Parts: sequence; C-alpha cells; structure tokens
Amino acid sequence: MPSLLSAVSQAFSMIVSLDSYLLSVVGVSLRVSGMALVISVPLSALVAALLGLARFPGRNLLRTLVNTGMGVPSVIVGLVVLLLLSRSGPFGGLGLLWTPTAMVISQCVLITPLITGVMLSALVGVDRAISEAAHALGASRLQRVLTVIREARFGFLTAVIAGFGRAISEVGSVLLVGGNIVFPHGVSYTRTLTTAIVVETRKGQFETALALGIVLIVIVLSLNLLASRLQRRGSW
Amino acid sequence: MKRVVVLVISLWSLLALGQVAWGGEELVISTTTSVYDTGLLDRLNAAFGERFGVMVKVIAVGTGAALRLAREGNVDLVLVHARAAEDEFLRGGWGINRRDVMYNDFVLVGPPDDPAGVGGLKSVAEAFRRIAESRARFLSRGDDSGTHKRELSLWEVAGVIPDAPWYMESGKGQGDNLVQASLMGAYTLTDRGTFISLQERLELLMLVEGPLNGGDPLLMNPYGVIAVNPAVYPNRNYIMAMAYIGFLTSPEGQHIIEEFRVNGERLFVPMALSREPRFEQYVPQDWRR
Amino acid sequence: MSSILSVRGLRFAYPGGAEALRGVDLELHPGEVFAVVGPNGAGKTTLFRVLNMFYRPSAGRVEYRFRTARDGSQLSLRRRMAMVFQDPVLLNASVWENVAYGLFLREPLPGRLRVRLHRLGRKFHLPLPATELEARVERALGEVGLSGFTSKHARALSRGEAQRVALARALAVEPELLFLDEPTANLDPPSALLIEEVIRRANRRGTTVLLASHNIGQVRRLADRAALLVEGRIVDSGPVEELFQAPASGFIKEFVGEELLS
Repeated sequence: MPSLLSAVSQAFSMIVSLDSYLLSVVGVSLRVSGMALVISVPLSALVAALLGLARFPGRNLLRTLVNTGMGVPSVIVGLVVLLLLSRSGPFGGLGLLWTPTAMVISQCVLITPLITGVMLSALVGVDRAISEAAHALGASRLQRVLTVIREARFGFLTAVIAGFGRAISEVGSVLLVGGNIVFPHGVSYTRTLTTAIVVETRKGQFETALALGIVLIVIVLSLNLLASRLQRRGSW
Repeated sequence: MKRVVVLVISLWSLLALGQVAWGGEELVISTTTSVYDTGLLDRLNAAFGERFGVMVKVIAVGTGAALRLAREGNVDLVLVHARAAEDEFLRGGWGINRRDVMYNDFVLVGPPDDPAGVGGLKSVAEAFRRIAESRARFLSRGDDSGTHKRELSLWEVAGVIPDAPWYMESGKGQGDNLVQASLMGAYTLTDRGTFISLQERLELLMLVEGPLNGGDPLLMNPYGVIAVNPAVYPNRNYIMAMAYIGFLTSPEGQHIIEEFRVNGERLFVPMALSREPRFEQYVPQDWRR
Repeated sequence: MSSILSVRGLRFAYPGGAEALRGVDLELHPGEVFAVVGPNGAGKTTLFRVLNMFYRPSAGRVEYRFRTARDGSQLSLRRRMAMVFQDPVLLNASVWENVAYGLFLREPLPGRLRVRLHRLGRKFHLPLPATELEARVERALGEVGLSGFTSKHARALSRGEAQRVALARALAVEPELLFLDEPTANLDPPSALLIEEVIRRANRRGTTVLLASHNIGQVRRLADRAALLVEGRIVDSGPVEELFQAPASGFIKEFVGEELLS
C-alpha cells in the first residue's frame, strides 16, 4: 500500500520541518493531558492509599466503583461533562464549554479511576511484611503508609504512564467538550492529536492523519520507554 | 452439560449465519454526511434494493474523503455536492458518467438574538460582511466538505478574510457542527436538509436562505452522482453502479426525492429529468472540445 | 537488679481466636541475652509482636525502662527497639537504602535532605564529607561483613546476605532492645554462625537481646538466661546452664532431647 509509506515520509517531514499546525496540535494535546495528569495523580494516590491501606465502611463499594470507572467509554464521560458544562447545565455559568479547561476536566474524570485502580493493585501487591518491617524498625503510622507507597512506586509510575496514555489517546470526550476548534492558519485552540486525526480522515487526508498518528504513538512510546528504563535502574 | 454445548453451538451458528446471510451482490457508495443525515438515502436504497436484489452499503464521510475513497477504488459510486472537486475527479479519470441528481440549498443559520443583524438579508455576501464587522462567532466546518468549500468561496465573494478569535473551525460533520454552533451561539453555514432534520433540537434560526425558497442563488447546492471508472478499477461493481445511477435519475427515483419530507418540509428538488439537453452535467464545467 | 523490660500477667487473644498468651511474666536485665524457646505454636512470635507493640495486650502490664527514650510515648519507646524476623524482609531498593531506612525514619526532614544532597553531590565528585547517618550505615554494614555491598540491589542478595542486611538495618538504629525472632531458622550453618557472631558483638556493646530460637545449641552459645514457653505460658526459666542441666519440668527434657542435655 503506497499511502502507508508516503504517510511515514510525510510524518517525518512534518516533524523535521516543525510544521506549525502539528506543533500547535501537539502543544494542546500535551498541555491538556499533562494538566489532567497533574490534577488526577495526587487525587488518585490519595484515593488508592485510602482504599488500599485503610479500613472503613463502603470500601468495597468504592473499589467496585473504581473498577467500573476504569472501563467507562470516553464518549460517555464527555457527554456527562458536556451536559454539566453546557449553558443550561448546572455549571453553565462558568462558561467552560469549548475550552481546554473543559477537556482537562473530562480527561481527569476519565483517567482518575484508571490511575487509582492501577495504583491500588500496586499497593495491594506490596507484601504485608513490608509494613510490619517498617513498624518493627520504628516507623510511625504515617511513615508506615509512606513506606508501602514507596515500595509500590514502580506500580505508581505504571499507573501514571497508563493514565497519560489513555488521556492523550482518547477522542470521544475531548471532541465533545472541547469542540475540536482550530483558528485560521491552523492555530489549535481545542484540537488535539486524536481529534485532528478524525478531521484529517474525514477530509480524506489519510497521509496527514497517519502522520499525526505516528507522532502520537511516538510520544506514548517514548514515555513508556522512559518508564521502563527508570524501572530497570531500580534505585530511586 | 450436553444441553449447554448444544445451546452454545446453536447460538454461535446463529451469529455466524447473521454474518453471511447476505450472499448476494453489494454496492458500496461513499457520500457526504449532509445527504445521509437526512435519511433520504435509506428511502432510495430500500427501493433500489427491492428492485435489484442488491445490498447497498453507505459510507457517509466528508466530500473530500468520499472522493478520496473513490479515487483509491474503495467504493463503486460517489454521491457528493462539490462541483469543482467532482470535476477534478472526472479529469483525473477516476470517475465516469456523471449525472445531476437533485439540488437543495445552503442556508446561513445563527443564534436567535442575531448579534450581527443578518436576518432577512437577500445577499449572503452582505451577511458574511456584517458577521465579520461585528466579529460575531462563526463556526466553520473546516473539514474540506462541500459545505466548507462553499463557505470559503462565499468569504471570498464577500471580500473578507476570516480571522481569530471569532472565526473557528470544528472539523466536524454537518450535524455535529450544527449542535456545536447551537451550544456556542455561533453562526454557521449548513445545507437546508440537515438543518431541518435537526431544527427542533437546535437554538438556531434560518437567517439567510437559498434558491429553494427564492433566496440568494449563490447558495444553490447541486448533488451529482459519479460511477468509479471500471477501466481503472475493474473489480468494482460498475454494472450495479450504473444501475444505481439509472435508478436515481429515473422517474421512480426522482419521484422519491420529490416526495421526501422531513418534519413536513421538502428538502431536495429533483433535477435529473429535463426535456432540454443539459450537457454540462456530463463533463467538467469548463470543458471545451 | 533493675530490668529494662518487665512483663506481668500478659495475656493476648487474637480477635475471634483462641488465647495465644495466657499470663506471661518476664524480667529482662539490661545487657543480657534472653532466649525464649518452645515448640511451634507456643506463642513466641505472638509474644514478640505484643512486646514490639504490634498488638495491644488483652490483659497484663508491659513496662519499658529505656535510658534514652525521648518520652513515654509509644513511638519514642518503639524507636528504642528493633526487630528482625525469621525471613528477611527488605525494601525494593539498594542495600544502602535498606540499612539507612531506620535512620531515615528517625531523622527530621532537613537531615534527610542533607544526606540525599551529600550523596548526590558525591555522585558528581564534589568533595563532601560523609554525614553522621552515612557513617552509621557504613559501620552497620561493616559489622555484618557486607561493606562492599552498598550499591547492590536487595533483590540480588542470597538469603544469608539478605538476613545480614536485615540485621544491619536493625543494628544501625542502635536499639536498646533487639528482638530476634528465629533469625537463623532458615539459613545454612555458616550464615547462621556469622549472624550469631554479630549478635554477640552487638550484645557486648550493650544491646539487650530477646531471642526466640528452636536451636538449643544456639541458645547455649548466645543466651545468658532462657525461658520455656508452652501453650502461651512460661513453664520454666532461669540461667541457661541451670535450665538445661536441671530442668524443672519433664517437658524441657522432651523438648530439648536427652543428648543435648548431657
């Protein structure tokens, strides 16, 4: 198939020529998903620590909720956020619909259960004996919790990478709440790599679409490589 | 245990049957979202399928993608509304036997409070100028579709270069773009058909109309059908494509188009049947011997 | 004689379970090695865990009389003790991190940061002096004979090495009271002897040791006094030699075996 080859070469030339449309789309993608991550990770860590290490009524219900949340399709999240933020919705007054902020919100909703779930299984996977050893060496209650979290740090890293991967590669919700807006001269406002791929595909610009896809994959891939490098070094 | 096995096998074979139940011929059409969203094609395809025993598969995308799919031999037939792009498709030798099928028109729609004050204008170019002057939000489809191409040429006629931040592109199909424009309180250009079929759910009013209701002829929106050239793609179903073109342009097909209503409104005017010869429909518009 | 740990009528039952300790009395003298022997399931591990404040006793009294405890709070008392388990439990980190762990727990944040900065600086060849914490880690590792192992990962150690690191980690915090719960039960004899030697040296420097062991030879080599725990009760106790020479109960004969007594 000749268009696959030409897509690869177009992707390459778009990257080396620092195509301004590409840069602005990548910029929006990274900013939005990065922001979602910054908000979601501490929240997820807190929830995971509570669910994994504390005992309280309703914990199992919450765990089930988290596990369900991990599989919710992004369009549904987008739809709910859209209804909440639209003019007639409860938060319509904030005027957030069709802004990058709206996209950050929906991505947060989307990835928090995923990150929490992966962090939770990492925490649960830490040997109980670690917590006991911490106690035996004079750790306070908080230090005990922190020690277990530190033991689960590779799992946490995996969670963060997985969360970012899901955020940057999801289409459904950002398309709905961001509006996929681009200003004249290809200046992206709420158009991300994924929604740009949708647009280019609709236009029949399959090469450009594939080129954007390649950029997306390269971003996700290099993050994963970085993560596995850190894990292999193992001394942090 | 045995009963479970039997149940699973019969369920499975039922599913498998569903997959292959259609052993007959099929025809693949690529078309624009603006035609498909109205539901007209479902009506036409049902009648066509009944007569010829063919399953019609419709791929609804933007005009650009529809023609691109045809150019690469992935469909048998295109039904689109972008004459310049169609002509290029013909000149490239990818398509043959073009026919005019029908027309409807574009309309300029906008929020009920009409901040640019364009309601009732007879000239769409004037309306575009006023929108630009008042810097009211305008949501372009920005997807290389027929509607998008027409909108760009209208800005040109109006002598305005649209700019940020009031001018935005959504990159979405006609229906999605209307929904978004409605939620944003923005003006947008749309084909009449999609607008009417979605009207009840939109907070948008028709402000400048096209020729279907005696408005600006610049908003005329003709649809053409083209078969994929069997000399380029011999494996495509050319015969059935020609049958489809024949059906669409026959009195029966034209009658279905004529009678088609959404919310009691007529969306398309058939234009294939004419006593006068209209040679320009067969070749690129500027074609000379 | 004053005691460092005094236990009176200690009882403990697991929630919803049978009573594991049924009235234990115990006096530990500062600077001694005290061994608790007994069959499996006698309650040795439970006793150690209660004494190390894993569990709150159901009844009875435990008094700690440490010279250096900051106050009477649970945490400051616990920080004068340390425990080594039967199976080494190391953090998923380097040997250095493992040995420094207990010290880091006791160090306020500025001190922790200073150590991190020093180590980072030296990585880039800055001539920074070793901090007190680092010196203690070095000393503890030297104590167990693993000086060259600092940057090795804990997962790369043999079982015997891992247990020595676990011991070094406990010794690094210089506890007044050290609990050793069958520390050599799953080790080969050379490793076990090495660890015994480390225990002996630590004890000579003043650490009081409470040792649970199955190994009568080990008890005789290390302990000053011993007690026999059976079904949650101490059935016999006294100086090691007396206890094994003239056992008060028939049970100890049975437990120890004739040949070892002679």
